[in-house]
Amino acid sequence: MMAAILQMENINKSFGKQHALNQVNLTIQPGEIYGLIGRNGAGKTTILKTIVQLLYADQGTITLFGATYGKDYTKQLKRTGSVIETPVANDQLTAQQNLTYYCKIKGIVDKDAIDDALKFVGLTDTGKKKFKDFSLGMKQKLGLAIALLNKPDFLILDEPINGLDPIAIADFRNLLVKLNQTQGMTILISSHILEELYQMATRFGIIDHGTIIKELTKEEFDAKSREYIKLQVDQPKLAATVLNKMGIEDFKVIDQHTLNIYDLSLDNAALVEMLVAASVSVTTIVREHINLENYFKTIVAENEVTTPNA
Amino acid sequence: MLNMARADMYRLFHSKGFYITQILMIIVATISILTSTIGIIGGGSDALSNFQAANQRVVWTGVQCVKAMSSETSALIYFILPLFIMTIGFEFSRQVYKNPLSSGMTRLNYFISKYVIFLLISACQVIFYYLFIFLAGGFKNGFGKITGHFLVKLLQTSSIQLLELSAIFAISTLVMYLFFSTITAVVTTILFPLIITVLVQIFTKQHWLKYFSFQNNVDSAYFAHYTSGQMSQLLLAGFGTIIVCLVLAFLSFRKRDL
Repeated sequence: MMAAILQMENINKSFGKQHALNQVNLTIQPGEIYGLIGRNGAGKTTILKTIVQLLYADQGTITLFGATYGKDYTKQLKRTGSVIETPVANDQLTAQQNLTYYCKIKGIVDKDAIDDALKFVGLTDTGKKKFKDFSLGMKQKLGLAIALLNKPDFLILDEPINGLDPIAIADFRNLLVKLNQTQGMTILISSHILEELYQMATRFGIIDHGTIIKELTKEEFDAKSREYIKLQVDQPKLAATVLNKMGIEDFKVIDQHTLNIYDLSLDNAALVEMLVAASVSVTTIVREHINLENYFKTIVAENEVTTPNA
Repeated sequence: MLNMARADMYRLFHSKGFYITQILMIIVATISILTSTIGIIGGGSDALSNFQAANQRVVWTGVQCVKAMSSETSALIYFILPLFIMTIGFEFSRQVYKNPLSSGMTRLNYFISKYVIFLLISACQVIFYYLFIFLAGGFKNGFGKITGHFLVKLLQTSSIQLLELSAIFAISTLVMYLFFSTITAVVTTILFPLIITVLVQIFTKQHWLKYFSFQNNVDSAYFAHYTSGQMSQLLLAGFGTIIVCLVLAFLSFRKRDL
């Protein structure tokens, strides 16, 4: 197995009395697009900032490209590109001038680097327009272009599609997938626009109250998100008995009124007939599937129940 | 550091603010030369007033312009201040520091690079100021006699002035790193020298205070005669202020949550 790009072990971070990160463990393997999912204030940005050393963890270990401490770690950051919180650049400079500025800082002498980056993010026609006059979408694209200047192995993006229009979101998604597939770039991306994240990420981490409460691959999620029949009745226990009598075992009682039946070969009309015959009142019978948003809500809700003081 | 210097010079030369600052400085200096008048910003000593009065009675050749206008060099505080904002201030007010710091530049490297670049820019501003007034005065009334003594005195004067100006901006740098606020740093840069000048005039028996009157020391650098002991104290106050402020600034920045 290839060495992990990033490994965070038992990371804690507090701001005064507020625990922002609590025993965070996270590993990112080469070639992954890791989607970090969480509510506002859950700790997504704190994790990303800790990785790029804009924040320092109070406890725990972070290993980046095999380097854990001090100068070695900082040196490995040169292999990363990042856009944390809002994209920043020099207000009074144009897109091209900003990239020239950052090329000088990063010691990039490749004359094509600027044109390539502008072309890649689709900012070739901004002319003399200055950064301060850019739309949010243009700023996001320039932020990405700056992050890509040194052709990083690991790209870290914090809510990059916030505020973008649907076309810009699709463009941005395509850019990231292209980077991952053509250059093998590993990407860590935080977002709460979950349907978008679903379309590009290969693995997901759900963070709540500063703790990673669930990690799963896209395949694992897809297995969980299979279609099911949602059945709402007045007596679920009796309904379960009816289902057993019909030879159906692949179902789950969700709450006092709801059962999810995963056997899709079931004849709905026959089921309703059997239930009514057993004096079970059916209020809903409908086909559904779990999307990432529903799954996220469920996991977070379960976490609230198991750790009410979190 | 060299990469950062090249980048910052590029940014400076692509900023309107830089050219506006230089034009304003040229206008102020030109008005002084054309009218052969000099002034004092925020008070000053009797010796300074006498020096300026004496200079207003002679013809301002290039050499004389340099001598006379050395006594209002503290005006450079206001013509270095925009360069301070453009080099260091904008980094914090617009959080531009995030890009280099998150991509492999150590905080120490960043801190030193920024300060050294600003110091070089300040030195260039002092050189540009003297060069301009010498040439402007020279074209108006002739260049005058350039003696070895004058050149040595000019070098000594400009070095002390750069030190004292750097001390003022070291305090601004400390405020900048402590509060991440350009406005607070600007207000400090303007008010601190004025406050010290007032304190020197109130507490006349506290002789050590005058070594921290950086603005007054800038203006009197050409004509003031220091004993070796006084010079040592002047240098100690200047360098001491710079070192203390920079160390404190870095310590506050080193592990700060950004």
